[in-house]
Amino acid sequence: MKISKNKGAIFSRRWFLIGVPSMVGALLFGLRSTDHQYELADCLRDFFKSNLDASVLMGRKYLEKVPEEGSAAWLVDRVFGGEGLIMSDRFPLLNAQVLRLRQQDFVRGDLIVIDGWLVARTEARLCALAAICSTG
Amino acid sequence: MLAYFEEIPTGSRLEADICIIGAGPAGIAMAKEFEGTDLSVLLVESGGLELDKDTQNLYRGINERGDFKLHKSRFRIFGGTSYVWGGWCAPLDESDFQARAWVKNSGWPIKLADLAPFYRRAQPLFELGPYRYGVDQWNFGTAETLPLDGAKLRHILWQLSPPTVFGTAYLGGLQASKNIRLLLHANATEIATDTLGSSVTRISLQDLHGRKSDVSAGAYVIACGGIETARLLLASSRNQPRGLGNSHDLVGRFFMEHPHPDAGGVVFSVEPDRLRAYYEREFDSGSIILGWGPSAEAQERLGILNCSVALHGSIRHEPSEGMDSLMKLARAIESRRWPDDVGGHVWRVLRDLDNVLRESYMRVTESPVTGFGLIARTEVAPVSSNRLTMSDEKDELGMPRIKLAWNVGELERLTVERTVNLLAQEFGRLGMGRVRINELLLEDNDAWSRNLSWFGHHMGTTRMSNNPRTGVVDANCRIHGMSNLYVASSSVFPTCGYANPTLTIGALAIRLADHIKGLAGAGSLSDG
Repeated sequence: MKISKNKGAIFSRRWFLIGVPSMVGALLFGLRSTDHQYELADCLRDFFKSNLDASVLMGRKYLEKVPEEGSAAWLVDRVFGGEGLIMSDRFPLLNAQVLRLRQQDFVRGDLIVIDGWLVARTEARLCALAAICSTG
Repeated sequence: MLAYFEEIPTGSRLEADICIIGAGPAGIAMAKEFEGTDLSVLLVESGGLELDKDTQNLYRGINERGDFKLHKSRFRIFGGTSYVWGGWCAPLDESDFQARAWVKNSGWPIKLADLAPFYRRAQPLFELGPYRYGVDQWNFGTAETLPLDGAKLRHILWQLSPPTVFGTAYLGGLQASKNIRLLLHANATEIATDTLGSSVTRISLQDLHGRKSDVSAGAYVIACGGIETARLLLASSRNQPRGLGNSHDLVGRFFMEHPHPDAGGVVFSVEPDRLRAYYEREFDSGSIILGWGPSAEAQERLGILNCSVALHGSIRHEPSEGMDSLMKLARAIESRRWPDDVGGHVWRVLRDLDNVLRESYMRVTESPVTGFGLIARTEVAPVSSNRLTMSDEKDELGMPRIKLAWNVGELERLTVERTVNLLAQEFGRLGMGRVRINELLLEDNDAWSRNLSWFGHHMGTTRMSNNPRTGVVDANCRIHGMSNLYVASSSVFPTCGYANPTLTIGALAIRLADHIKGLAGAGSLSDG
């Protein structure tokens, strides 16, 4: 997966404005299809093209800051609340769960700075998950 | 009446009921209050109607931080520093007047309610409309204002003066006045007192050509700004070796100035037009700027100072240091006030030329706005060691030049960082977008404090307190221990909030004029 080397690229396409909700769907789609990380990354790339690059870059930066969260299983558990991910009929529920967690982060002030951007912890963890999957 | 010092025979003694030294916004605001009364007023100004280099050089001094020059951040001309100002007007907050446990040396001896009537009266002075600083008092048409969580963030509203240049706006009225005499080119060099130092007997005046006279009055008001007021008091040491009003070594201490850091930027997740209340300035009922600041509750909970952030400079491509510097240079050209680090800004533009060119191209082609920069203005804590003293060097009039030793502390950096964080929380919660923080705010204090902009808000050097051990002037702006010497200046601010000081300077000046009129009416003008 080609990652942009341009540090400023993360938000140049206003990634977060459209990226995160779509990312949730992408991850769920990928996880539904397979639990093999390489195939998931391939699927994500097809879905989001350049936005995925930015997400992965952000995820890597997050993991540099918080290396102890570098486990896909742990991140899946935190982001999706340990719900079964493979069941396609649960997608709407899981999507709502991620958005709820993100909202909770903003209300509680659980933000983290990545490349200067103040993002919700849940957003950052989603990106970290994408980054881990992309290196599979 | 208008007179020039050179027209007055040297050695003359001028007389008036009230002598006001300094014809900037404070001095002129006060003088206007006496218009048409039975009191004779002498308004003394060092400068003339045009800026003069030799006169301006009297302001030279040493700023040990080196990030702004003392003679470039204030103006010695009729109208004072209103010659160059941005026109941003806002009153101090109620909480700014209170003693706050987490801000050492905080607290005024007056409340917002005491000053509010004078804020209202000051509005026309700055050609502003009604005294309305609540966001709910304005009609933004179809533009939205955010339903903020009041435990975190609140709206801040500045009204914009044209900006009023006092030297232009009020010259005619003062010239035509029968009881106010405006004297230009006259520099106050010493305040003489009786042997006890309890009452002013005269003020020495001098010009750059060696002419000397003095003035005798019932009451004297020093209205020379946040630095020069303290300088004149410290230089008047004939009967009081430490200077006037300085029994407790407070004159010149607690210097404050608002740091204006580039705080980062925002990108919107909604159509920018929805949030135009935050970036447009012209509305049906007047010109304003709408921003945000930490609520009083958040300030206390987080242990921070007062602060404001506002949108600043639209972005079509993405935030970049080159564009930040280019905007600073553009603002400098607009305001006719050059930053000291011009070379640094030019270098940053060149180093980041690809982003600058892309952003410029997108502006020229009117690409849609995607975001804005954020500029902060934070309160600084009043710190005794931030002080001005007299240097060994003297100016052309024989007055010691000023040496300013001060710094911006960790609390100020933390205040801006946490304010931006609160804004990010609210932008995210409300689904409006995301906030970028200037990463210098996350570094050590030295790194961020070297990258601040300053706008000449000099305050605090003759602070107000009812206790002479903690303040130079009392609640009526009279110098403790002196019967007839007053200060009308931002130098009396014990704390400074986030608000640009000029409106408060005007309000305090009008309040002081009322006080002096009351004394005069009671026949006790020189009794304090």
